[in-house]
Amino acid sequence: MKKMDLMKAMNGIDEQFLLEADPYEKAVRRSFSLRRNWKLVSAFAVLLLAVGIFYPFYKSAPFGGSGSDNAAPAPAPIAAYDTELAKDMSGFDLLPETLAGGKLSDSYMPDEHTAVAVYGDENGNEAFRVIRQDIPFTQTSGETKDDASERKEAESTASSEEIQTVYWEDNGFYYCLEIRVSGEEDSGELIGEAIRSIR
Amino acid sequence: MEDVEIVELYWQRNEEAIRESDRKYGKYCFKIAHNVLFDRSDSEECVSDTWIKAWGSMPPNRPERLGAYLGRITRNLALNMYEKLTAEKRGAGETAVALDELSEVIGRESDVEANVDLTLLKDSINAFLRRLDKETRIIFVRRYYYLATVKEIAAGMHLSDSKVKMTLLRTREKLRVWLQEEGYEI
Repeated sequence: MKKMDLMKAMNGIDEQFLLEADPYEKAVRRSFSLRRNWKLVSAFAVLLLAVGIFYPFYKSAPFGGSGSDNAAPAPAPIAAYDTELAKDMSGFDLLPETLAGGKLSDSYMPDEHTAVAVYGDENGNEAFRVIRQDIPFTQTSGETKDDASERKEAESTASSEEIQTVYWEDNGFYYCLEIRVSGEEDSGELIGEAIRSIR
Repeated sequence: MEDVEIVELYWQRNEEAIRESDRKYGKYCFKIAHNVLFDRSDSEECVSDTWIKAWGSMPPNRPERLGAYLGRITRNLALNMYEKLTAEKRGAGETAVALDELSEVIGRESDVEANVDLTLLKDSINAFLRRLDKETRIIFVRRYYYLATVKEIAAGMHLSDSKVKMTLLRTREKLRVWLQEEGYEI
């Protein structure tokens, strides 16, 4: 037997084995044909059309479309913890609308550990605020004690008001009460009432 | 155009059959021829001859898989041309390497012209292929029918070159034993 006999005899390999092993069937023989692949082309066209129709709705939806030039500005991260959500998450919904003569004017969460409730006086000015954290204030990921001191000092200087601070712990939470006091005003009664109300 | 429509054109003796064959299977047949001959113009000549052979064979033949049918004609023509070119010392490419590998199967070629019945040999090879697992069979057919390189086979099947080489080595040895059992003088 000659090796060429063997090579030629392989021309008689069963068609099923040839098709099974054909390395060029997809690469060479099957050139893409619109006519042959009309179903695939149609499906792709429908998909494109659907995207074209629904994309503008998606962009305008409150949950969708960040990063587009035409989209509304993305809210700051803090907004995720704002107002009603902050109340629900922080337990501030348990706080009264009025507290120690002040009226709840704002509440928000500056970070995932901290909730802030702001109370105002009858003129709408901030009277005091209650800050609650689920970690001690020295570990807060938001405003540290030092930061708070700097902020209060700056605010006091600007408004000629003194901000008094009281810290306490209750039922696994850490509280801070900041009261704006002007002149010789005695804040002791207010502080006591606030703490009692929160407890 | 579907295969069955092209075959019908051959049967109607419509020359459009050749144009459609070339359009659909021209590159495919060229690749098969080029793997054997490793030369562009020789391969193109082979493909042209393929259409002539196809024209002469349909009718009476009515192949279901036109691609495999035409590919077989091309390979046969290419091997014949390879033999001719080798005699003229022009042969090159993967065929020489594959033939060297196959010489392991048949041992030293006899100086005496052995009268091998190619039809029986084809049957033996098919019986042998049926005994192989699918992966081994694909590797073997790609190498010795399509004359794909080891690298092409490895890349196409996501295997390492050494795995393909080792599989081919073992399969050649199995084929040698099989052909001996079938009564061939090796």
